Formats: sequence, structure tokens, C-alpha cells
Amino acid sequence: MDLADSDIKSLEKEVLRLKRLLSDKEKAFEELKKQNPDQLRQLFDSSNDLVQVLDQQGNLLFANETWRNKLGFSEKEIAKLNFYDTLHPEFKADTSRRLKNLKSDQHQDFETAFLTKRGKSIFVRGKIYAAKNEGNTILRFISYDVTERYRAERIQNIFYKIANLTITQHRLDELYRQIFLELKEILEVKNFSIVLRNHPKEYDFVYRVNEYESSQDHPLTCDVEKLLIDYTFEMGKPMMIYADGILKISEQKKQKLKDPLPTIWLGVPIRLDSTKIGVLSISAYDEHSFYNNTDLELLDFISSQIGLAKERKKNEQKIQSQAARLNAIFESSTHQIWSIDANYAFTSYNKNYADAFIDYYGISPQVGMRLEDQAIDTRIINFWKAKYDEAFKGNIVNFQQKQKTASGAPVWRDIFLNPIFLPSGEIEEISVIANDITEKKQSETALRESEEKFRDIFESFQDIYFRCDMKGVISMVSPSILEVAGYEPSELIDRNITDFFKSDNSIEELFNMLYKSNRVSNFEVSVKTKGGNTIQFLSNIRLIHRKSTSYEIEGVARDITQLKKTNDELREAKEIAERSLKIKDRFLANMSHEIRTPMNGIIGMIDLLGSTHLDEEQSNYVRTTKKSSENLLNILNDILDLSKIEAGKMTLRREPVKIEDTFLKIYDLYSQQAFMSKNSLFYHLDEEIPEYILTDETRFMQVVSNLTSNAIKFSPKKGTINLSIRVIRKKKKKYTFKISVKDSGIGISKQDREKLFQSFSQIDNSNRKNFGGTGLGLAISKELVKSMGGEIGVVSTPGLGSTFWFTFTAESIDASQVESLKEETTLTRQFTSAIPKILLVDDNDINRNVASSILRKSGCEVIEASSGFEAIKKIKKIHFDLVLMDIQMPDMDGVETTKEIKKLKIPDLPPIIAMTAYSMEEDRESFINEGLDDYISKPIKATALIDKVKSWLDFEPNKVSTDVFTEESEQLVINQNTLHQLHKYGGKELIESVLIDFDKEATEQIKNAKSYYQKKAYEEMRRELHTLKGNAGTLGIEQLSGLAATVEKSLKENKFEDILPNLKQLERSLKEFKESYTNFINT
Amino acid sequence: MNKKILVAEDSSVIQNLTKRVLTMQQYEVVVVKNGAQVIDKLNNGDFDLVLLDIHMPVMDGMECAKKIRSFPDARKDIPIIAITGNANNYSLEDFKNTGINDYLPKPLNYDNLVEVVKKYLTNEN
Repeated sequence: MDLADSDIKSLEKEVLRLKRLLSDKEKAFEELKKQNPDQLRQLFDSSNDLVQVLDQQGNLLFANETWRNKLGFSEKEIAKLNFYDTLHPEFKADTSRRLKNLKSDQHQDFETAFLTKRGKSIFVRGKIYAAKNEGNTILRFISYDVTERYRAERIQNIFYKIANLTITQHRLDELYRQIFLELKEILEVKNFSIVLRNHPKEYDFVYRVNEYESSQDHPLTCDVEKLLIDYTFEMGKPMMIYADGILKISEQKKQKLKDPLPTIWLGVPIRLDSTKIGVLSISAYDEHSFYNNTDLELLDFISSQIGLAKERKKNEQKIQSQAARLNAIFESSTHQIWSIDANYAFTSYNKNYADAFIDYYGISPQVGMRLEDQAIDTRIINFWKAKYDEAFKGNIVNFQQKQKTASGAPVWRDIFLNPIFLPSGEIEEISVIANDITEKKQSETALRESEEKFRDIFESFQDIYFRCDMKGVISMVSPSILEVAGYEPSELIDRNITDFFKSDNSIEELFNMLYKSNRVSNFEVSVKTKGGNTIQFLSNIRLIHRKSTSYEIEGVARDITQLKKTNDELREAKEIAERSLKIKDRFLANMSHEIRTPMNGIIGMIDLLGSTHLDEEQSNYVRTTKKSSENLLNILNDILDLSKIEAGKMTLRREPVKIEDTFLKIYDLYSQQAFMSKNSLFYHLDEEIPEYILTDETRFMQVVSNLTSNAIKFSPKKGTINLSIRVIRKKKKKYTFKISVKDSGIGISKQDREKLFQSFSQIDNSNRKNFGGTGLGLAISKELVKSMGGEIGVVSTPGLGSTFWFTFTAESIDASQVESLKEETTLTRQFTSAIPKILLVDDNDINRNVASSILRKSGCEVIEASSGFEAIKKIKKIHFDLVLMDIQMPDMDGVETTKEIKKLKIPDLPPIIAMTAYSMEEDRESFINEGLDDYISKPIKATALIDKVKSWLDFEPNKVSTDVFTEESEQLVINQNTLHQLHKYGGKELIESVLIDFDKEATEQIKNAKSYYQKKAYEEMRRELHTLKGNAGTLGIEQLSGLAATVEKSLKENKFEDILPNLKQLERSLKEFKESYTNFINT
Repeated sequence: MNKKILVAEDSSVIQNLTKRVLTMQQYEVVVVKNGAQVIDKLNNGDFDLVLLDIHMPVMDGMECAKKIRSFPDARKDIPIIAITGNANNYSLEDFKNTGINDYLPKPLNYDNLVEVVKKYLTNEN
């Protein structure tokens, strides 16, 4: 303002001066007018003032040279110019209004602006005079150029405005725009840019206006601008560069420019904290625009203002982010934070506290909420008031507080109250920070409880817990040691554990094991008690690694002195029991074996006795004796079997077995027995059953036989026994079979079933006599099945029957392989036509007597030897067809003797057959391996012996009459098996029709036979019966077939006296058949 | 065309049985009671095989077989299988000498019967 005042004063002075000057000039003018108008004109023209004369319409009558030069018009042009046209458009209206109001002979101070021919503004100030001239009013306007001054004023103004803008305008982009608008107005800036540098040589045009671009309608490359900005930036000071300067720079920088060059370019660096951050620039393309140093100063000022604005903006952001950061910390803190004022009302709180508050009180906190609104309980209110008050005294308050949530769960908090001091030292608020320490509290409590619990355990522990260091120094021992070993725990602490061990060896051993595996289980050690006794400890000990540097040893020991004593006693008792059991087994086995030798004599002699002439009563006695001795033999065999199995001496063979044959054998063996007890026996093979399997047929049959004979034994009359075999699992060639033997017998109760498979158990002891047998069968079967890889069991309903079953596994084998195997084992028979000469070697006189009697009776020549030596002697001299060799002989046994005989290399050596009481099938193998050719089991039975000889020698033995025993081999009325075979070819219908045929024909045949018999036409009768025999045989009508054969034989042998009873028998049998087959057909 | 078998057997039981078993095997079976009838049948028709019971009235099997083998034409080569209840009376050698190809012992085994018959009738082709 001072500046303006002084300006005004100087202006006023100038006005006075001008006025004086003007009046001088006027005087001169008046004089001149009188002299010469040219001189007058000269006068005006030489004036520095702008002089114009115009009429009321504004037509220029005169303009002096100064004016003309100022506005750029020629003298000629002036004649056509109108004053108003030369005015600046903004001033036109105001100026013309004022001129019109000007009355004649008046003058007025006047301000206006002209526009030069080139469009530049010229601000003027002066006086205007209105004068009458020949009736017209003419105006004389004498002014001087105040443009510069005006501009200075405006610039002054802009300084102020921009300084103001930077303070008031918070948005930088708006600030930039306003700066541009100001510059446009004052300096007529058309090209303007503010550029901030992000990285070296990379600029961000934060504000840019370019007239060229806006007129061209396509963007410039800004290469010129960038070049100049770079340059300005480099120079680091305000730059004013003209077009030629720009070219020089571009040459210097070796940069070709595409954009049009401005005629002038002004740029100033923008600084922030004395660092250059950008460039502010203006430029002009037209030649008549020009800027001067004042403008550059203005730009420099503006740039400093922008710098300030930037800085302020930066600070503002800093403050904002600082506040945001603090708020974030405040809100995200895991602590609860709040503050209260002197009224105990909330002034702030964080989210965590708000959440907790809801938890505790069930309501949300609010700023301004007073303590009384927060809690209802006055105790709580008073509690907090006291705490807050303490803080208001200027103290920091810390305490732990237990709080309950709305749902009743306890919460522990660690709370700090901090007074907030104002600069004046007053306290208006308290800030509170609380931390939820519930978990910590709980774990503390849990730890304490756990400690108590373990202390209780430790103190009431009955075993001994101890801990010691690696040297064995005891650091801890449970009080139980007092009771066990008589020591107070305190006596033991710090003593070495090894002091109490009885043997040093065990300590070493213990430590070795501990080092190796870190723990030792069931370690036994003897320990001295305080009283001097020795007790046994069983301990589990381990290394523990509690501290990072040292190991400790801990363990639990139990007094097992008593237990050990008991154990020893038990073991002793067990050993005694086992020993006795073994003795019993061996005794049984030996006894059985020993008994078998005399049995041999008994049975052999009975056989022989039976072949002598006996009356009916005698025959009866012999038969009974025979039966009893055979039973006894069976019992012995069973006992031997079982003891052998139990001793693990049983090995199973693996030979190809045709399953169907095996079942056929079983059927043949038991169908008769079943028939005798009026039971029907059937068997069924599943379709999946392979033809051949590899198994031990003898053992397999033994089990099936046992189950079958039991079933028959325990079935009442008219029952059925069904045998079946099926596959229950198959994996490639490996099969698991299940064999079932189902009867419709008396059944077995549950408690009996449990005893069933034990040795010597037969259920229903009261009936023992009814069923006979050793009761060993199932026990043996069980063991056998076990060794065949199977199981055995029974399902039963008392009164309805039982099903005994067992499983076993076996591999199947192809029939082709079987054939080849069989060929290998085929024995070559030796044929002699003469009476067979047999060497019988046995040290036992009775046995020798039995065997030789049987053989002689059957037509053999028998030479006896009572020892191996004798046998060798005889065989050297005489040629034998066969040798029967006892195995168990003193001095030289049968195997040795055989080996010696083989060594003799006698040509045409006879086969040597072992006779032995070893009844096991596998023994046969071993004898054959030892060089013997075959094997026959003792006791020797007549038929078995003869069959054996027959199998080796081609001879027809004399008939040894064993009639006494023949009734045992009674045939079946109908062998259903044969009929089953027939079923294959024509079903039931075929069987039916064939049986009907047979019935008819057989009735006829027997009738014929009878009539032939009466006519003594024996040959005819024989033929008839021969056919009957064949037909009956073909159809499995065994009994009839057998009887027909008997009669046929009698006829052949001319034993006519035997015929009649047999014929009667034949008729009875036919009758029986008729009954059976009708039954059969009907079922 | 099914193969034709002539069965000579005096027992109607065995006649019926063999006839039915063999018919089930897709053979055509003609049954006669004695050797004389066999010769008769052979004179009046073509057969592929003869099953001959050795033990027959009128003309027994052995005699019958001898007759067949002495036929002047191709019929003499027809396979003959004997059925016999008493193999002891004749040995296999005896049968061979007579021109009997094979024999089936009594009691008759059905599997065996079917197998042997099949053997001869398949071999011929």
C-alpha cells in the first residue's frame, strides 16, 4: 500500500508537471497556429505524449507520431481508423459512455486501453478535452502510456493472489489451474506447464496447456518442452530462452526436434526443501508476445509458492498418515485400550475393548457413557472409581482383575491406568490399557493343580520312582521306598544308587543299555534293604533330557521278590506237569507198541483157529474173540496215532488223489455198515471239485471215515447220512475244501459239543456201551485236520442230527501229470509158475508161527529164519520168490539185514517185504527208501498177508476158509453209488426202467433156477444164476449178485449140498431188493 | 447219420440198459437175443459195431464172432466187443484169436462201456 501511495503521489506530481507543460504547450500551440500548421504538427509529433484528435463519431482527425508508433499504424491508415476500433475491447463500452457524457469545453481525466495493430494492450492515462470547432465538437485526447506501471500493479496483485491461493487452495491441481488463469490474464500466457520429476529424465506433466496443440487437435511429442525442462533442471535456475537459444541447446544435446519451436520460453525450477522437484514453464509461439525478466521473477516466485504448497501438502499427508498409523495401532492392538474423563465417561476406546465390553456387559460401549451406565453393581463402580481416582492423582496404577463375561466365564485382565498430563500439568483424562491374561492364569492354575496331582501320585505311589544323575547320585526318590526297603527318602538323597545294588555286573549292563537305546525295560536287579535283606526289583529306566546341557536318569522299580518266588514255583510245577505228561505219552506209546506184538500172535492164531473145523458154538466164540481183539487193536492204533501227532512226528504226504475214488472207497467201506443200521449213505461231490488233488489220502480218509462211522454209529434206524465236499476258496491251483458229514441222528447238546474234540471224550457217558470206540477219533481228526491246514467243527440240533465238517487245503493237479506219476510208482510184479518159496524172517516164535501157518495153508513153501544172520545164510544157499522181513530184531534189524542181502548181489533177488508194528503210513516210505520193496503192518491178518503175497507173486492161493468171518462183508441190497453212475446216462427214468426190468427178469431167473435145481439140471441152473450175477452186479444189487455167485460157485464145484440154503437166501434177498427198489424209486 | 450198433444179449435187463445208455450217446441201437440173430441182422443191414455177450443161448458169442470174421465181404471187419461175466473162462488171448477186438467185463461199468464203444467208432473214421 505504501508503494501504491507513493505511486499515486508521484503520479500526482507528474500530473501537475504535465498540466504545467500542457499550458505551456497550449500557449505555444496558439502561437504556432498563428504561424504554421506544419510547425504545429511537428510540435505534436515530437511530443512523448500520445495525442489524438477525433470527432464525436470517433473518427480520428489526427494522431501524433508517438501514438502511431505505439500502436503500429501508418499515417495513411489513421485516416480510416475509428478511435473506438483502437480501444481494448474490455474498455470500449466504458470509454464510449464517458465520451458521450462529456460536454463542450469540459475536460476530464481519463483512463483507457488501446489495442495495438498486433493485438497488444496499451494502458494509457491522460486528459480529454471537448472543444467546439466550426459548430462541431471535437475531442482532444492527450495521454501517456502507463502499461508498464499497470502491469507492475497487476503483477504485484498476482503475487498477493498466488500467495493467498497457496494458502487457501488445498487441492494442488486446482492451485495449478488458478495459477494458469492468473498468468493468462496478466501476462496473456497461452502455453503453460508444471512438470514434476519422478525419476531422472522422467517427468510428470501435472498441468499443461498448449495453444498449438489445442489448435492442431493432435498431441505434440513434447520433445521441445522436455529438452528445455531438462535444461532448466540441469541449470537449476530460472531460464529465459529464445528460439535461437532453443536450437543451440538442441544442437548441443544432439537432439532433433519435431514439435514447433516457441519464440520464447521461460522456465523456473520448482524446489521442495531445496531439492529440485520439477519445472514451471511458460512459452509463446507468436513473435509479438514477449516476456521480460520481471515475468521470470514472477514465475520464480510462483514456483517457490508451488514448492511451499507441495511441502505443506507433504506435511499434511505426513500428519494424516501419522494419525492413521496411531489409529491403526490403537484399533488393532490386542490390548483393550480406552480413556475416560473426569466424569468417568468414555472419551475413546478401541475395537478390542468394545468387543470385550460386549462380552462382559452385553452392551456396546459409547463415547460419553458414564461408569454408572456401564455397570449396575455398585461394588464394581466403586472399585473402578477408586482406581481412576488414584490415577487422577497422577499415579500410574497397575492391577489384575477378575471379571465375568455375560455368559459367566471368568476372564483375567492385567490393567494399567495412565494419567494423561496436559502441557499445563493438569489431568483431564485417564488412559487405560488392559490385557487378557485368562489363558496365562488358567495355565498357572492348571500347572498348580497338575503339580498337586503328581505330588499326590508320587507320595502315594506303591512302586518306587527315582531319579539320579548320570553318575548315579540320587536326587529324588518316592516315599514308598520306606515301606519296600526300609529307607527314608532323605537317607537316600545324594547317595549313589549303585551303593544299594548287589552286583556290579548288572550296573554296568544297565548303563550300557541306557547309552545304547536311552531306555531299559524290565531290568531286574537285586537290591539290599536297610534290614540287610535282598529284594528283587523290576525296573523301567530311561534317560531324560530336561536341561539342555545335562541328562538325568529316571526310573520306576517294583518289588517283585514275592512274584518271582511264585513264578519259580509255578515254573517248577509246570515242568513237573510237562514231564509227567511226556512220561504218560511215552508210556502210552510204548505200551501200545508192546501190546501190539502179542496182539499179533493172538489175532493170527484166531485167524488160524477160525480156519479149523469148528462147530457153531465154537465159531461164535472165535468170532467174538476176533472182534474183541480187533477192537483192542484199533484202540492201540488210535493211541499210537494220537501220541505220534502230539509228538509232532506226523508228516503228511503229498500224492495225487482222485477225490471221487476216495469217496467211492469211503462209500464202499461204510455203505454196508450204514445198511446194517438201516441207514442210507449218500455222497455228493460239488461240480467245482478238481479231479485230482495232492494230499495224504490215508489221513484224509481217516478223518472222513471217522466222521462217517460216528454218524452211522449215532444215527437211529432209517436215517440218512450225507457226505459232501465242496470248494469254498480257490486261488489258482490252491483249493480250500469243505467236507460235511450230515446225519439225522441224535444230535449233540451245546455243552457236549465243547468237549467233543478232546481226547478220550465221548458224550453221554451213560450210553458209552451203546457206541463203543475209544473216543479218540475226533481228537485225532482234529489234529489231522489241523496239520492239513484246516479246521474242524460241528453244528448240531439235539434230536435232529449233526453236521460235522472240516476244511483242508490242497493243490489240484492235472490228470495228465497224475498218469506219469503213477507210471513211475508202478511196481513190477514177478511171475513164477511154481509154488512160491518164501523166506520168513522174525525173531518172535509166535509171530513166525502165525505167518508161516497162514502162508503154508494158502499153498506156499515157507522157510523160517529167526535172525538176520540166519536169513542171510539161507538166502545165499536157496533161491526164494519172496522175503518177509521183520524190522525189529535184536542184533541185526530188518533194515540192516536187507542192506546186507542187497550187498550179496544175488541174481534175481526176491522182493523183500517189511513186517512191522510201525503202523504209520510214512514208515512205508522210509522202509522203501532203506531198500525194502514193500511193507505189511503187524498184527498180521491172514487175508492181508495173502493179498500182499499175491500182489507180488502170480499164484492162486489155496482157499483158506475164513467162513467164520465172512458175514462181516455182507453186501448191500442196492449200491446206490452204482445207480448214481447210471443216473449220468439216463436220469432217474433210466434207473427206474432198468430196475423194473431187472425185477422182472431176476424173479424169472430165480424161479427157473429153483425148477432146474429140482430137475437137477445143474448146468442150466448155473447159466441162469451166472446171468443173474452179472446183471445184479451191473446194477449194484450187490447182495443178490454175491449170492448168485456163491450158488454158481457151489454148482461149479459140485457142492450141491450148499445150494438149497443159499437159494433160500437168494429168494429172501430178492424180496428185500423188491422192497428197497420201490422205496428207492419213490424217493 | 448216427452210427449203428448191434447189441447181442440174452438178458433183457442188460439189453435195455445198453440200448438206453448208448442211445443217449447218439447211437442207433438194435438189440438181439442170440448169435444167430446177430448173423441174421448183419445179413440184412449195415452196422458199425457189434456188442456181443459171450454167454448166450443158441449161438454163443465166441461162435458168433468166428462166423462174422469168416464173412466173405467187408462185413467181416466190423469191430466186435465182447461182454462177459466170466473172463476166467477165456483169456484175452482167446478173444484175440477169435477176432474179438475188446471186451467189457461184467458187472458192466457204464463209463467203460461208453468209452470203449466210442474208441472203436471214432477210430474207424
